[in-house]
Amino acid sequence: MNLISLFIMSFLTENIVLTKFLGICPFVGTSSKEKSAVGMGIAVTLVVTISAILTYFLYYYILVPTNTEYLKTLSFVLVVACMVQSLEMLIKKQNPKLYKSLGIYLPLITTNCAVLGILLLNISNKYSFLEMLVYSIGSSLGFTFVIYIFSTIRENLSRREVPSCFRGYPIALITASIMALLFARYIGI
Amino acid sequence: MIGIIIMTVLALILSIILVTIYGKTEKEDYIKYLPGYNCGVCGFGSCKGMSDAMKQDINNYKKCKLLKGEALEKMEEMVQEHK
Repeated sequence: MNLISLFIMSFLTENIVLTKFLGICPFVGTSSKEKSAVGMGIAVTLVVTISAILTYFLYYYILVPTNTEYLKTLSFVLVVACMVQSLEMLIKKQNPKLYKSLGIYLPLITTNCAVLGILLLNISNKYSFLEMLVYSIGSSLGFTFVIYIFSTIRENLSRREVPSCFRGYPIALITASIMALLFARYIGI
Repeated sequence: MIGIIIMTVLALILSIILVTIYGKTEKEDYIKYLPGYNCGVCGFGSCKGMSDAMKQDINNYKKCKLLKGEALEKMEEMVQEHK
């Protein structure tokens, strides 16, 4: 029961993008097309899940016994960078089309605050292994879900008549703010 | 001191992982087996274009008109190994 509520909390009520405001760069950058948004979401989910497992063992079995907890940010960035690089090489080989459509945003997952944020929140909330896994998967799926909704709205908006001063990013940011207002209503369920 | 050692070991392990994945995913560059005249008779513009086309379909090397004799034998050997 606890795990289910944790999943819903990370997926909806404490959504990483719309209530914690982490990972805004890929949220705005890759959401102009539906396909690249879903690709980005899946890539982030993979990176977060694998690096969450790795950093959990790294923190509790190497950093804590040797009293070097202050290294957690540095070492987590290293692990995330390595995961992103290997994922980039795999996508480049398996799916060159997706690789092209993601462009610069794929290596930029390294500096995606959502990824490092989830890893550091895992540690600071003192989750157990199972809770950590559920929280990371829930948060990254929440990221995928929100970026997918946002991309469909933006694709729709691109076909509509928008006042010229709002065209492009301004209307996208307004959409994001309205979505954040809506997601704030979930707090309390 | 212990912090430095931990970071060094961690970086070493991660770099070994990256190198092995790189070795497995990155295909060989075929340009060194091609004649290198950049004539464009094959239809790919240059030998660089040909090596990129070979990454898509390895049999594209047959379109090279200048690949003869010993060089052709070497290329076929290499293609056989890849299959």
